[in-house]
Amino acid sequence: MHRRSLLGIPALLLPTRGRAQHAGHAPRPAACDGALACAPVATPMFDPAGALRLIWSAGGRIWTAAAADAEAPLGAPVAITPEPAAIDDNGEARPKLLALRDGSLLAAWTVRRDQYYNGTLMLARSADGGRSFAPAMPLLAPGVSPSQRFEHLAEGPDGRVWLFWLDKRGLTRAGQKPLPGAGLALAVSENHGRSFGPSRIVVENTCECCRLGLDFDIGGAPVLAWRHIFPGSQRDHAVGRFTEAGIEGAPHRVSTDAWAIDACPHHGPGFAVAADGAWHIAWWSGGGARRGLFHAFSTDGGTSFSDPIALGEARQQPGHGRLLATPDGLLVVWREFDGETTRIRLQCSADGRVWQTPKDVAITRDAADRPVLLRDARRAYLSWQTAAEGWRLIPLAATAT
Amino acid sequence: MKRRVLLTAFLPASAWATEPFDRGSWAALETTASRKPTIVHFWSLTCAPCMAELPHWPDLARRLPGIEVVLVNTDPPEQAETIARAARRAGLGALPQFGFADRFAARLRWEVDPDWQGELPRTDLLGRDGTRRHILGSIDRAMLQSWAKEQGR
Repeated sequence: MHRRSLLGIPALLLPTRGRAQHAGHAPRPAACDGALACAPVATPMFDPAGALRLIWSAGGRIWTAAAADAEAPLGAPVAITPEPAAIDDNGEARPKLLALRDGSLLAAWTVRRDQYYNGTLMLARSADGGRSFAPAMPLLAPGVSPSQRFEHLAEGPDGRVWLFWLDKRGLTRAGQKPLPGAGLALAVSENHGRSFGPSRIVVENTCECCRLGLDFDIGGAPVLAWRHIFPGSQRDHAVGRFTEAGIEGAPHRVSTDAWAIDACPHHGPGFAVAADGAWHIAWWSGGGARRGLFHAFSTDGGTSFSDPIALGEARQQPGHGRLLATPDGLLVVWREFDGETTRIRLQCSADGRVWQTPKDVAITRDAADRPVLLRDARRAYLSWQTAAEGWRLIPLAATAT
Repeated sequence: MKRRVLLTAFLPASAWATEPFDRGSWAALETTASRKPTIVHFWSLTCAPCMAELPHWPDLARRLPGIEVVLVNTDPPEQAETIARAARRAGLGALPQFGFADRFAARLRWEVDPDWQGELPRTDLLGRDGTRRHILGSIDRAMLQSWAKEQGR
């Protein structure tokens, strides 16, 4: 297939080489004892030294493996948890690994506590480059919160580790109707993830079943995008900038899609801060005012947003958008499905305002994870776990010349 | 899937029994609806509004005479045991129940509705005359009853 990169130079899309070859085409093993091929979701990140780190769950346990770089083969898997548990790895939920600048690794995931999907947020740390992990510990003491889910963690430019999640504490109050949805909770670590400070609910009335989007603004503060519950049960999107004390001001509404629904969309946003400081969000809505996958940006810290632009083919379920800012511009990927084939589509922009024509990056004809974007010092990659092909890391385009 | 079959085999039907919802299952339900108006309610363990509403379905079904009420769980087949526990706790025993039997859930959803990306709860109303409508989110009891009344005419 002939492909062109966003810069018009010969394409760097090499879906059948390197890692794709390594990971793909393996028949699904009968016993899923940790095999990557069995994982419903897999999440990668590059560590500060440029090594690739992958985390996944299979057979009820959390696993990780590393490769020297994007082209090198993955090493032997390391089990982070010794015993099987009910890992939350369905749909929006995925175990995550954070490679910190001090060389340590912090893994985070949710264990389902009961049949209602109430969760316990677990953390495990490695101080030896991922060869071993200390025993997993719940973030919170028993009794603090009945449920934590959809955690998102990141290391800020100043070395603090920010951990956000959706929390169900404090929803019932004497004499009042229970609050809908969940609350957005925050805890911060000042010691590279060895411990976290007290957790607090920083935003109330968030949707309880959609992943979060996170990036750092030009000043180094975390900016979060999430599906909020606005008055009238409208599950539209909001963004906000945070300090340790909580959100700066009130949540900013991205757009009034007017999706009044008392239901779980299972469909959270993608978010990125571009090199010029603009906040970009990709989100999906089934709203009365707007239905589909959309992109918008803000150049004033969320106070106002551009008019939403639709992404993808409306009749092919475009969704699960992810954004990535690079020194050269902005990438957005999303998933489309035509009833048989699922494809990941990519659109590139130099400035986040004018977008090039979308192109297909990868396809599959069986169950598929949501797409994940990441980058190393050289370029951006799509990471995609699919039942038929296994895990693929697909180079997208050069980000440095 | 094997586990689901075993559960069905060993449990008394009144306690809990479920059928696989696979490719073609939706078309079969549409055929059923051509003989008897059918309400298909989709639910998942991951969806708090679904779990809050689930225990109301047996009573709701009793108040909809002449209507076939079918419940379909959309969680992965590997979670059959947990689904069964939740269904028993909600008292669903007597209602016809299906569970998504394919890890490729997107394809099953497409057969129901090409616009459905997995929002839940979802309730489809299949009229005997082929009319179709669906409700996303929690159910309005009065609305269902008036639809059932129309179908009875």
